[in-house]
Amino acid sequence: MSRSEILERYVGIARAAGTHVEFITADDLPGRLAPILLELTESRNPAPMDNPEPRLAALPASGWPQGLQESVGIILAASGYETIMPREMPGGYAWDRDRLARASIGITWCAEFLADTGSLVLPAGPGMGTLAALLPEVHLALSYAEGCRTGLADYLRERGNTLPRRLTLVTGPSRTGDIEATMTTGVHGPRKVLHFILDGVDPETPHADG
Amino acid sequence: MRISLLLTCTADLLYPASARACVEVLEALGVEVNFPRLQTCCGQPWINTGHQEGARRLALHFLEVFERADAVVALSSSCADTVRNHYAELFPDSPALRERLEAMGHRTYEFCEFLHGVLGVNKIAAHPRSARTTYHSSCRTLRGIGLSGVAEGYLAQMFGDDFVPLAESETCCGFGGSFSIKLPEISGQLLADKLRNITATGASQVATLDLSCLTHLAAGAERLGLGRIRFLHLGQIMAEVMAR
Amino acid sequence: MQINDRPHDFRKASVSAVADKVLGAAVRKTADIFVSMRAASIAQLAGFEDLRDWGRSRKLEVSGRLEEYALEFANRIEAAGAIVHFAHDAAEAAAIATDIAVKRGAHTAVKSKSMTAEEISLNEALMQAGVTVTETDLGEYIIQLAGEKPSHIIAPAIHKDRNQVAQLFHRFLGTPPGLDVDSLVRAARKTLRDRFLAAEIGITGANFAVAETGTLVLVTNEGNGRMTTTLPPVQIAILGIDKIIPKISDLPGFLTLLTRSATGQTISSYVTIITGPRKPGEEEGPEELHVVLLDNGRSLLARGPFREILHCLHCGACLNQCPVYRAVGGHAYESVYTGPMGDVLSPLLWGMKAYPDLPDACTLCGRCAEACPVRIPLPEYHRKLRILRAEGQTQWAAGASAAIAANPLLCRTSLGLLRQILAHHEGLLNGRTEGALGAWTTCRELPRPGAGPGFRTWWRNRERGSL
Repeated sequence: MSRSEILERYVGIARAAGTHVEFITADDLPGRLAPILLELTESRNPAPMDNPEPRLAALPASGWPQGLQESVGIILAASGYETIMPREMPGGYAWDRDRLARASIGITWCAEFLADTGSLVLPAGPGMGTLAALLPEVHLALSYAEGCRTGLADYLRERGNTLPRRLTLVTGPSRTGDIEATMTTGVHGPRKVLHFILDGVDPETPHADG
Repeated sequence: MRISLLLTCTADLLYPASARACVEVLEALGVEVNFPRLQTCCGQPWINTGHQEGARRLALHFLEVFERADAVVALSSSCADTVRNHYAELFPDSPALRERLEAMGHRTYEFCEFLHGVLGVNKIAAHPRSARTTYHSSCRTLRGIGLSGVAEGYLAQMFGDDFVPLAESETCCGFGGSFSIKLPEISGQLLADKLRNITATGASQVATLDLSCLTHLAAGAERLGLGRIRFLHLGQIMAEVMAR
Repeated sequence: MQINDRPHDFRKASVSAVADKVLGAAVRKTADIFVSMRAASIAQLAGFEDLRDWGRSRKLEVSGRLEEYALEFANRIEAAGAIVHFAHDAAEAAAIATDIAVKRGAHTAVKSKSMTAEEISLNEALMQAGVTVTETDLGEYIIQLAGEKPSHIIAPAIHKDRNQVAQLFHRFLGTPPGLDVDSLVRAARKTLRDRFLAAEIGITGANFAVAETGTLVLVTNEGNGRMTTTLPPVQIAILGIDKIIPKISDLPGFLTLLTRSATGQTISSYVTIITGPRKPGEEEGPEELHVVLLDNGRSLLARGPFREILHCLHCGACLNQCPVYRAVGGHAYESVYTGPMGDVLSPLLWGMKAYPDLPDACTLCGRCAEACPVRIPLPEYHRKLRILRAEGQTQWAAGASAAIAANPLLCRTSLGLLRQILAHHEGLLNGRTEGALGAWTTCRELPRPGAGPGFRTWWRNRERGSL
């Protein structure tokens, strides 16, 4: 399969799993992110789930590509948001967990994602802060289109069948059907997962030139 | 072509008309039917309740009676399934015997399977009398014999729109041999569910290829006041078209 | 654990279960959803049948060298910094876990769903040692509040409706009565979030353990697996040695088999993949990772005729299709493991004396085998257990009846006699409430022989007539 076919596959499966996938350019990022941040601060339906600090966003400290963390930080500040990250200390990083648990959105860099299952690959590491993708009720992942892999088997093969020490595959929001088989999201993890793919084109949108 | 008829205990005990009808259908199709009078029981009840010694005894007698037949046609799926799929494993230490049993098993057919798969019967005329009809697949037919769609095809040709498929046809009727008396409450629940699906079709008759299910369904229908519904082997319905 | 001290009486348990129409409707509703979602998911995947064959062959590889693979896994995850404990039986496993908690001076634990932990009665052991265990899988949390056992391997609270859950939450969490499902989930999220953040110990099972890399894999939809393995400073993972798969390259295939068979999902919301505790400097993950590898009869089973039951992925597909399970739900089995796989595993783990009835809890319909992602021959295993049980009993009745049935004259005579009685002398049989006859007539009339001569008479007359 070609790169664009793999990407198209990812989009179809990820959207079917409940992830909001959008293709934007780096220039569009403020325009797309700011409304989301605004919506979170207003008391809307559904009401925020956790004891919120509505204008608090959680970000990993490390693992970002050049310049992106700063761009995101600027947009957050412009929207009146404070940012919490793992704090670098002697001997390593540490979260202020209680505060992290009150963040209303986690914004993370996602270097790789898998088409066959519609999954984000979130490896752990010093400062990588995957809890930012787990605790807040909204998780926004940012990727480049080139990060798309066919599936877990290919991801493993590319790494010579080795693994990062700890990683999670995330596919859509946290969900349960445990009560009367009624599907609900946001059980322990996010109720909403967004995935912005920078510098790509949405394969499910018809092009102007057919 | 010459076949030996596996009557089955249930037909022997309860359903002579079904057996007669199947013979008539086979003969109408040009098959010479032989009935080995020394046949007894295929041994399924002993196999399913774990009584290996008894099962072996019956399998050996069966082999003696039927081994020389070119083909064996059984009037119930569960018996054909027993002979074909559960005889060889009774004799794990006798490879020669296993081979003979497996060979005999390959020559043993359920009735409808034989008509379709061996005789190549695809077409059957419309039935002279219209009657709302449905079909009970039976687990042994579906998963033991591996037969699906054939009987329904015959019934659709015979009755057109008056053939109504049964909902939840994959689901067990609740007989299960000894299960029916070891866990009668669950058996009764599954029976009631199956009869509810049957009455929902509005059918006045139910065709099946498994005489064990037939016994259980008919007896349950009578208990529930549904005695007006006829339960019969598919062969009986086919004989009404083919053998008159 | 074996749930009761006396032998399990499945018929007795099933009578009240069958009578409970609310329970039956709830069980069948959820089972139906799982069945249709599985079917849709599998239809989308070309080659699923080949994948089942592959899955079986990989599991055979493991069960053929079970102790070797267990050792390989243990060595690898130990090299990655985990502390590995081997538990010969349930009691030992529970004691190991309890010791860990006591040594840490821990009093609070959160637990992600684990059937193995149920098998060893871990919660009870920890409670006795002064450790409060909070179940975090929503269904498990609900039944923990209710003081009940799980009734389905995937959806433990399948037997409870919304009103019952709302009442439980009102009583234990102080939520307003009569909440809708969304609100109930939010209430649970809030309560459990606090427990996650405070917990000293996180207890998990594992869906897979990769021998080659020393990796634990947890499959969840809720995110409690991630929370339990990321927040508390100590993690205890308890798993049977049958959870092992040989290589990391096996993982994608097994994930597919599991999630599509269980709920029809292409993949679960979260797959947590762990090879050791946190490294120094990392801000997430436990400082201490304990892995308790449980035998509890598994290595013995691997060498015997029921070896493939160890291949079970705990997907629940067999439960959802089983007419018996669907009629009664999980509690009637009075075992941690229910449905077709539980019929086989329960007597094998706890003994035929404890679970004499479960091999009979089966009509041999074969739907379980059709659904099993790794092709465990479940109907065959039911019959094999019946053979084992029969060998343990005196067989004179079975032998005598077989002798009669195998003799042409005796067989014909017996059937002829029975036919006469059923046709003309029903009165002799009517009104019996005991034994086989009584059981038959609970829901059925006596069979009626068809009118006219028996087939043999007809055949004989026909032969004579044509001479």
